[in-house]
Amino acid sequence: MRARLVIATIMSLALVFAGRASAQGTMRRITGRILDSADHQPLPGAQVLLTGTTIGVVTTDSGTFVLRVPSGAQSLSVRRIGYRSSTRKLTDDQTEVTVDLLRDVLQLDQQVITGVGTAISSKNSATHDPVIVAAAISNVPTPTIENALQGKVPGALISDNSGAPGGGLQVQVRGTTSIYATAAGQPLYVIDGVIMSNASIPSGLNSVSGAAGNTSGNGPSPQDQQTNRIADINPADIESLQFLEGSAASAIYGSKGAAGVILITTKHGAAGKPVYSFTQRVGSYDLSNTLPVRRFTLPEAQTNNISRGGPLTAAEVTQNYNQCHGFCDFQNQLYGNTGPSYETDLSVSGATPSTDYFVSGLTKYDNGAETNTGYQKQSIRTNILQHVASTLTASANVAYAASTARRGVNGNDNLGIAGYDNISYTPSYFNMDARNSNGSYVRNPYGVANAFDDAARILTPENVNRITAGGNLDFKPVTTRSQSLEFILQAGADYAIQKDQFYAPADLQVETSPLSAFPGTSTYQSATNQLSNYSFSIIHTYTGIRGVQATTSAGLTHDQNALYLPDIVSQDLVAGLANQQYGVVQTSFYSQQNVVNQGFYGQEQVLLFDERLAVTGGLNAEASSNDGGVNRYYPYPKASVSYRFPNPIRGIDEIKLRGAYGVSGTVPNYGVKFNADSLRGYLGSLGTKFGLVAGDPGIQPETNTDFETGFDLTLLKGKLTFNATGYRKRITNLLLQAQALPSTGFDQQWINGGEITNQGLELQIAATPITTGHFTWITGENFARNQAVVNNIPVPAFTPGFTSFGFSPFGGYRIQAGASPSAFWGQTLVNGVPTLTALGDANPAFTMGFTNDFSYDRLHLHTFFDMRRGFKVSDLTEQYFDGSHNLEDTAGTTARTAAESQGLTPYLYNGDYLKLRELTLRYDLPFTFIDRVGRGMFRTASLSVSGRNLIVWTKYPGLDPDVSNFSNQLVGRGQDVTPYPPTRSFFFSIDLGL
Amino acid sequence: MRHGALALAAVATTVVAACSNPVVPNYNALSGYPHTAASLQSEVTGAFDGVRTDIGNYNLFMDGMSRNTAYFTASEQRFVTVTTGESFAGPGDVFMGPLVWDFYFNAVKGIDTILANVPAIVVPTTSGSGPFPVAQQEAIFGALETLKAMYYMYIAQTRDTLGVPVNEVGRPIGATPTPILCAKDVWSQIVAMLDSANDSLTVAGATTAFPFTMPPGFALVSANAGSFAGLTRALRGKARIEFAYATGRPTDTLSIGTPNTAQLDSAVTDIVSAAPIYSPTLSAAEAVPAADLGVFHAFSTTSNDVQNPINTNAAAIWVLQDALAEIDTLDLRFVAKFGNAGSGPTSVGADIGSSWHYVNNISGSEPIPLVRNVELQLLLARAHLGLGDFTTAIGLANGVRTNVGGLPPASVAADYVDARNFILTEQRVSTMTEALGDRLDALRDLNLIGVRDTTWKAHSGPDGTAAHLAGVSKDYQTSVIAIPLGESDARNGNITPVCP
Repeated sequence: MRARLVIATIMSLALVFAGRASAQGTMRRITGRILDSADHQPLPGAQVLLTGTTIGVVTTDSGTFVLRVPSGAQSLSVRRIGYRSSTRKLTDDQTEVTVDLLRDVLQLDQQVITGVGTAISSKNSATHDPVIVAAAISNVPTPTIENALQGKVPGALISDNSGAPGGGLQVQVRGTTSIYATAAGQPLYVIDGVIMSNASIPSGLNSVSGAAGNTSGNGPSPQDQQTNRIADINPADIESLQFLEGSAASAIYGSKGAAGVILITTKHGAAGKPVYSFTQRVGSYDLSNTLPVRRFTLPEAQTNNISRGGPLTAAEVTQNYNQCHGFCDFQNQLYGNTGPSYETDLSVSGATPSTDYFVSGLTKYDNGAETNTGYQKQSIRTNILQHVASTLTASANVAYAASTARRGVNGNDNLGIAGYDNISYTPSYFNMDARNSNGSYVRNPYGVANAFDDAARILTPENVNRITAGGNLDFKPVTTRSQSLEFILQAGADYAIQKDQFYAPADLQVETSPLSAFPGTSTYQSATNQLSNYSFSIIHTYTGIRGVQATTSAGLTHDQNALYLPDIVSQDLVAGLANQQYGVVQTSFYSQQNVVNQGFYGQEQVLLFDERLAVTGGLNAEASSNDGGVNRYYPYPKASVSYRFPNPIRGIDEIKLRGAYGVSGTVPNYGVKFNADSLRGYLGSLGTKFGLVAGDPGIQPETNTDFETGFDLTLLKGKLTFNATGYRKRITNLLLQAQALPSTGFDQQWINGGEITNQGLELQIAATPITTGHFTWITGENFARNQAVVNNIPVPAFTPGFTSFGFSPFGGYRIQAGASPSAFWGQTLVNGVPTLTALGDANPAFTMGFTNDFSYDRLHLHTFFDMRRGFKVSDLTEQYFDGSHNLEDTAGTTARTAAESQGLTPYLYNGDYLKLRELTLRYDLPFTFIDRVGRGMFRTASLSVSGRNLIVWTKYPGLDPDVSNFSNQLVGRGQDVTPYPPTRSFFFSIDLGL
Repeated sequence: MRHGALALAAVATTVVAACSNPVVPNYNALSGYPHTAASLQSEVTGAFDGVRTDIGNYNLFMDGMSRNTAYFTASEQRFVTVTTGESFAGPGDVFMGPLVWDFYFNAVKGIDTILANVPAIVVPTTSGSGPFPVAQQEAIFGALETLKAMYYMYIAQTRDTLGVPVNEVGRPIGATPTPILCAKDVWSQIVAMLDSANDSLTVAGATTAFPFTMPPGFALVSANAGSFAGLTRALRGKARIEFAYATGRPTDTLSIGTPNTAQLDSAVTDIVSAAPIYSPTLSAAEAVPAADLGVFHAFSTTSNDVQNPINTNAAAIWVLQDALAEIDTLDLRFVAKFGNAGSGPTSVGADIGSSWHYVNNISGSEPIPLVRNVELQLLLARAHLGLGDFTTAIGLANGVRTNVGGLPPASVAADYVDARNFILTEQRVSTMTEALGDRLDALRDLNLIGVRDTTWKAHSGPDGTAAHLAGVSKDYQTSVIAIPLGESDARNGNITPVCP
């Protein structure tokens, strides 16, 4: 009730304010042009403002503008995306002006979003919120948007789960934010102001692989090698991404902001004629690494066959051996598919006097390195902005994406059918790729499955259909020289259906083996994710004397996120029939959840002393249906200050000091405020039992309190920038599934308590060391270091759920005060006794990224290296091979096996690596050539060759240290369990501008 | 101005809509245990369901530790290496650790909750409405208390001298834990629970029916309190043997030790009065467990039910060479379960497996015995062995051998060692892969854990090489499942059992 009163008061005041007439003095007409300082081409879409006021205009297609300004000396402020802003003074009688804008190649002056409908120039921003522009993600074709961001954003650790087509990456911002609060597992994604789902929905692969049990027929599991739904976004639609890493920035998203926020701005139309862009790419994905599988001499093969129980006769061993010329290269046979991949992008954008528009379409296919795998996606997007009236603007963004991923059976399994699991136990002298006379694959006598048969006949299609829509109504009833009042209503909806229909035929070797009581498995999952949200904001801006600018905003937010997961698993199928209804044994699984959050906020943003001093303060209050007390609003305050010192000493253009404080949070998981019950059928009756986990009816959100400070340095007339940010992020009131005393009947209990601290340092340097007439070199480097520690927990040390496979021999996780929450624990000998010890960390000690762009006339070379140091990976894959003595280094196997039998942890390895993530060579064709060949149809054309993940330097003995069996995890990453192997991609591209 | 009015109207609507409380339905947590007559059936069914999902692990582990069989899979070699002892499985072991523990205490908690609320359940009576008649309340108590004691027996069998915290269920979360009781006191309490259950069933009266339906596996004892008491006494007989040996195990492998003879006498009395499960008449049909007189965990392959947890992996359950060495493969009890595949397992530990695996009389809906007549015959033999009545003991074992196994009687000298070995062999072949744990109990009670045969070879060279094949035999041992790390952590590592 109180909240309603506040809103009503604000609105009343706004309406009174709106009725005030604005006084206008003597005016004059200024005409002008805005040009690119490098090529002197006109710049449409530039914003021209009468300095210190809210009066402004946008340039036309020819870069011109007309603006009425008061008489007397004035100045104009000019700003455009991709260029550094400029201020030009006008004399008393001046009526024409031309302004040249410098390209902002080092991104010194970008608009940084600070709230719903509010922004500030990055030169004044008090927080470090890295912005990635379109050019930085379009250099090399990317499977999904996260791949293109890997290593480029200091503080954002973006890791592959495997090399499977269609994505599957994890984004972690500034360290481990939570132990159990799943909402903190990934950052919040906001597209054009509207929250979008990044759900990661298990596919049900576990039903076929038995990853989470030791049989087939189980329901979906976190080991289903799932992808995040942000994969549905077309990277080519993105204008820029802004990372809100600290709580001072993300506090505006309250209890959804603790894991960071990624604000995505999609492309919009600009004034001028329609601009068509067309890109065609053709390339392939290629297995980038293999394991050193054991090679046998023929006598060794015979001996090995005997030791394996002698499933083949000596003659059969010889025959197989000879068919493979002594070595069957399963890895390259199974994962050596280099079929073509392609991508076609087409977009058109432009603007009429009343309508801005952008329409794009994508169709792509990424061919998987494994037989019968790949990823296909089509998407369309339409962004429309309508100037309904001088005071009212409406915009609508609608996107539709359809994709089909076929990712095969990889990752952990308990049936021996994952590709590398199968290879681990099959000796290389056996010709597993051979066929019987009827065309079927031979049975594998060394195990329960034939990997080639599995790859050919186990079907794993995942179809996603998703529509996202966002709208914005911007009503600005008052605009005077010094003040404006604006009402913004934003709303969005996101609806996705993910259908997984997996099929393992009844006559597969594994299905007819003792491991499967019911031959033939068919699954059907139709998951629905519905998200909707809206916000309403009132924004008042005041521009006063001496450059004082104050922006006051207040509003409310509301969002709802529902997930429905019905799944049917059908077994004992009549041979050849994949339809679930033909299974003799049918099991249904179902879960659903629904979360509603709402909040109110207010924010004041002030620029003083000619925009040198920027001060921001705000308070957000939110309540969630997941909280124990749904009527309680939890406060998320923030405050920040920055001050710029122009030309403080010779050689330094500017130094900005900044400091920020903020609080954000994470809502509890759905349902943890209740004691979960357990229901099960018992031959026709329904049994009711307690679950094993006790709920907490008073459960509260986690609280993330963040201090960050730093400075931004600009030197050498803008040719060199350097920024440094230190932060301390303290997460309290952790949601913990604490160990209960199992002998009480509950083995876990939900509680709040404990504290984690992340402290870190982020550095960025960017420079244009060489900018001659022909040659340009732009370089950018970043460094990030984060140290996390569990300061305290109110319970004894515990293992957080099923996030690892045992301290011995693999290494596992343990939450213990004084240690990192992502520490890998294992057993080492202390005084001859195996003793549990922290042996390293799954998160790197530091990361670095190195970007270099070289241009010589029309030739451009782009390179990006990604480095991680000081982290561990648990290599279960190697242990699988050791179990069958199937690695080339048999002495290593013996040593590791001996260590394992001692209760030690021999399979935990250092994962340090340096990767050549991106390499592109592009040539921009001369305009005269384009014009002649294209008969005046084309504006621009370029050709490029590019590659991703081309070279990896690492001592890690597995396939790739960038790996995670459990997909999205708060902790529990870095588990290498027979994954889809890593790939590198090569593409040839043609880009045309019409 | 019209646009502005529309915008403001939209805003006002939005504000009003947003100011409601954010409440959504709770889909996954039901109200739970409302304790009405209508809900009693599902609550009791839940109690009987208690440990069905975990019984497969119990079986595999107990049989592996008994060196009877092991589950060989290339994907999870720990089913072999941990259960038969080659790998380390101390506290913190996530493979075996939480199994046969959490679910069992949870099931006990469910039973205690039902029992605490039974008196308050209102049902129609001849005079209107009121609580269940006293006789029915006693019958409910007797049945569920028996079930509870059985769940504790499972835990006690898997932990042996590590002990069990029998008194913890129902205490507040966060309360200072009570000590883990030593084996002697655990079995004492289990016997006391069964005493109490038997008393209640007696008070209820033999003909008193239960106000709920039991699962099909309990059909033999579900008619009334009188028949259910047969299960109570069968379990109590078994518990008394363990109680008897908890303080009187022999200290060498040749002597009988000092088991509590009073408990053994009572065990004999209990078992022979455990009808309708116990019957002195035996037949070859009882070689198949499901055909025996007994009480079973029932399974089905219908949706949302539990399949026989052994079935899915059955054919990968191979008889160990150690067991095969003393079993006649023509024995009907053996044939009822195992078949010769011609070649044995190929995954880790293959050298300790034989070519016989579990393929007969197994399906997704095949029941798993809780206790059955053949088992009781051999437990009876064990009780007589402890009492020094070797002739009776040998006679009982021979009865099973000839009538159920279809083999000629064995000629066994009536001395302790020969009688013991004979009983162990008959017990082994009679109840392999069943949820009984009798052989492991016997090995411990009779101080034979340390002399089990093993065929593990030292990994002195690469697989298949002469050095490997000629490797030295190792006597790896696993005979208990460790106290789970979670239990240990919650006790700050203090898991040493205490005898009050």
